Amino acid sequence: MTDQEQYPRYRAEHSAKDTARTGLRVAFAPIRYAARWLAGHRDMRQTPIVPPQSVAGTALVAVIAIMSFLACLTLAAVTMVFEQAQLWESDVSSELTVQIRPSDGVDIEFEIERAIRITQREPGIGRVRAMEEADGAALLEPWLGAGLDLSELPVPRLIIVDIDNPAMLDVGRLRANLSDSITGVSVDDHGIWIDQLKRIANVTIATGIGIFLLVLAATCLSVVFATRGAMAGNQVVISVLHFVGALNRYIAGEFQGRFLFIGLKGGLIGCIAAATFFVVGGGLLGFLEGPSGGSPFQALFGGFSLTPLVFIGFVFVLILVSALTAVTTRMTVERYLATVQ
Amino acid sequence: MIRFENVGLRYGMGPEVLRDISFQIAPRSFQFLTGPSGAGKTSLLRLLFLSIRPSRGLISIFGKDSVQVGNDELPEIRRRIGIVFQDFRLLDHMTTYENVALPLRVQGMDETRYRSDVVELLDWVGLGERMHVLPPILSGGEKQRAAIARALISRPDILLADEPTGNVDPPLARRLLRLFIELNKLGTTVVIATHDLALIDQFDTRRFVLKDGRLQIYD
Repeated sequence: MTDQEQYPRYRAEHSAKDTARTGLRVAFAPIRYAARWLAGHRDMRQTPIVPPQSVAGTALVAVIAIMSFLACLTLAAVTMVFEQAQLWESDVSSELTVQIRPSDGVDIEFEIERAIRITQREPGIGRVRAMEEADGAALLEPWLGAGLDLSELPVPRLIIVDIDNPAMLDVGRLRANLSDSITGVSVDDHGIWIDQLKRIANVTIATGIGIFLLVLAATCLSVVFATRGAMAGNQVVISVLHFVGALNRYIAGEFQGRFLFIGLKGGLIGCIAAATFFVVGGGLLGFLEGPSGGSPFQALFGGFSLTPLVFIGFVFVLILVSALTAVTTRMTVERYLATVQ
Repeated sequence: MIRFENVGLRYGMGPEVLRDISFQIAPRSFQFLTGPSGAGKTSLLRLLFLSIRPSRGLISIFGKDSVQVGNDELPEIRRRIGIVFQDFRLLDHMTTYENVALPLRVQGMDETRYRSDVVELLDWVGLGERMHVLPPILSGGEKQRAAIARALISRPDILLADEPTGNVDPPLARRLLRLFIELNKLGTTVVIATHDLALIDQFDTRRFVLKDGRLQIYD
């Protein structure tokens, strides 16, 4: 191919690239103006003192975008576990089970009736119902097989008690009243299970917060390295600013404005990617749902969707990452400038 | 305005590059600082600008002892000193106008307040037609004039110029020197560091001659 033939193609490729770059610049212009405004530059017509090309902007935007994405996922996972643990806890603690073991010479149906009456007298109790023998057989069917006659076996009978007002209910007193009157009775308020559930949820949340903090720390370190690189590449700018009488806080503000824009841009890209991941992931999980309804993931963690709480978390991540980027840059520059004259 | 008393300077553990330097610079005065290459002219200018501190001796600038000037006070002093570097130190990504306006911009002044002053100064140094041009496009002489304009825009009490004629041809060098003399007549104290003795000989004025780290003054 001759040079003459190559030239139009080269030019076309480059003009396409330039158009794409211009498009991106226009798309991110509001963020750029917001960052400069936040950094104290009210006149947008002036050229930034720190040249944008001198900062490893693209690489840092990519790092911040990835870190924001991971921070969003971690925060969303923590939120989902927290919400689901609350749901499970409220489900379980709104109910307790009274169990009566059969004993020789005791009419179990009569004992069930008595237990129901004693239970209903307690404050805070809602509906009380005895589980039918057939329901009990259905529960045991996976282990003992179908067509089982429970009357031949010493299978305990269960009474399901709905709790209307947990604050009014004294489980200890109910347990004592039932034990005083009925032989072989026990009350299960699922306390052990709730405690275990709370512990698992708390460990998961603490782990998530730990990962979240590590991601933020890694972001800060990346910003520190990038800021140092930018300062090394802008020695002339810094020295000129010093010679024309710029205050250190003015110079730090110039770098801060540049890095705040990078933080906002990277954070926004990461948060939008995380939101897209949730929307697409929620759709995919719905698609993979079995005929019985609900996937194991949903059973464990609840809905995989962009709930208002998760969305607020993403906005929080965006603000936090941008602010951290700006503050880290300012501190790094001010610390450096304090050592030079 | 500026007083040096027995000032000595050494870099690190090296030998003294300036020894027992003593002089005074009066307001509205004009002086050349000369000497062979490596004699310490730039080091002396850096001391005048408080870019470095002396190893010994006393430097008093605008009535303040340099030892007592903290980092937070430096910008205020530097705003009273205009400096022209040998290598210009213009910011390549900013236009000539923006480079010249930089000292006022960093003081937080609104552009509407200084725009006419900057344009007027650029016209005065002959860069009125080049104000929207980036420095890489400017010639050596134009860069030099832009650097001078930047040093003058905040109306400093003293102007320090390091080899301001080093990168230009003799006719332009003479024009630049006439510019400095005109500035001096308007009330600015001027210190010009140069090793071009032929140029200095054209003007009958005070000379500081540095040789082997020592200073001789010819009034």
